[in-house]
Amino acid sequence: MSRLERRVRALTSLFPVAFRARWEEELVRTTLENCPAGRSWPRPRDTWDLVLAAIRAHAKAPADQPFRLVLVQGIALGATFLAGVRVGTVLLRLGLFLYWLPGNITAGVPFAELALTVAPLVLELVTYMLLGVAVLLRRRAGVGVGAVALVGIGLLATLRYSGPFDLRWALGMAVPGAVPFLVAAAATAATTAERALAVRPAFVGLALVSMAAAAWRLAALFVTATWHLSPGTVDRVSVAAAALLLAVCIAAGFADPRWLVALGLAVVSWNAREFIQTADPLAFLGTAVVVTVAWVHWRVLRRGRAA
Amino acid sequence: MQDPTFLILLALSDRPRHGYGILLEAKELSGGTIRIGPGTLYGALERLEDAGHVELDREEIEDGRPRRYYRLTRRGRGVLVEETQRRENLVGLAKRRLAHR
Repeated sequence: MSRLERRVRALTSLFPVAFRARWEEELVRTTLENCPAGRSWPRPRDTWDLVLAAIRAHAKAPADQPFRLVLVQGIALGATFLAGVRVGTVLLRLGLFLYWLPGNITAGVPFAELALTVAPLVLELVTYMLLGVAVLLRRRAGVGVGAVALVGIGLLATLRYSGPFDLRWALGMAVPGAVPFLVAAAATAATTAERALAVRPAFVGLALVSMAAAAWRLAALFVTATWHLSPGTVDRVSVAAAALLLAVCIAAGFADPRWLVALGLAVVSWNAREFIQTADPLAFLGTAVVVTVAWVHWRVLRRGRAA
Repeated sequence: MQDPTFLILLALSDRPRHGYGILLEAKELSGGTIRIGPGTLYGALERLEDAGHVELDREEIEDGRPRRYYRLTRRGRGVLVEETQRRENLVGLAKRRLAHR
């Protein structure tokens, strides 16, 4: 297999399993024929076209899958989305660290203190990157290492909590604190042969969404520096924008409950974080809306199937 | 109907073609202004086959790889004729309106 074909196959692996089973060999052949001789990389235009076509293929409604499977795919999608937002946050903090580094060095901040600040961020970023690449390349060992590291990061975050153990603590641990565990579980499930059929398509499609979220977070780095916004505000704006985007996708007729589950997961996580900071029960207004919409959506889908 | 789908149906209107043949013919038909990518092509072929507008004509093995030829169905030809008529009407309307100015 030539280097070009290997790269084209890496791109076609972004498509859902059912699509690949039907079209992959032809798709690879046509893409190779469409490349001028002597190239070792597919043309940028073809690469972009394959990525967009893969997103469109994922956006189609799942055909008569049991609800349990749809739910798992939705959770995997939501976990990927939240992981993407998390990657964006880490990138933002790393950027701020680098931004203030010259000043800190001038002020004589000890090197050990600087290293202690930046090391966990780098470790977390590397873990998410490793996990993403391992899932895409289907390297089970890599996924295992990434998942274990993420669980470790989640446990450390839990153990470092010093506040009172009340409802806010429970929510903090149960929802936002669960992201690393959720991502680790979804990534591990994606490598299992049978479940991969269910989880991997959602996982890959959703990774594309989270990449967009991460790109936005990176752009937000410059926004915080220029407009003096706090990272927390940017966090809320980015999650709200991404949630809005997903809502638009649903309204545009994707008719895919997986996106709604993912959206629900993101909004619940966002609302819980807001509640932890403000103790205002109204923070769960968004959750109530999502639950209501999900219920109505599900009823409509059931009626449609029954008819 | 979007331009790529229209061009794919048009490319298949004279004889069966394989995927790469469809891409070349669509580019030729549009005078090089519309270039359909492989991902768009097979996404559209899936929709068109599911809708019964296109069907498999034959399969050949070349260089150890499958080479499938697709043809337009009767229903697909009907849709193409309707869409051509719709586009023609639209162009006619635009011409009349522009002539008045």
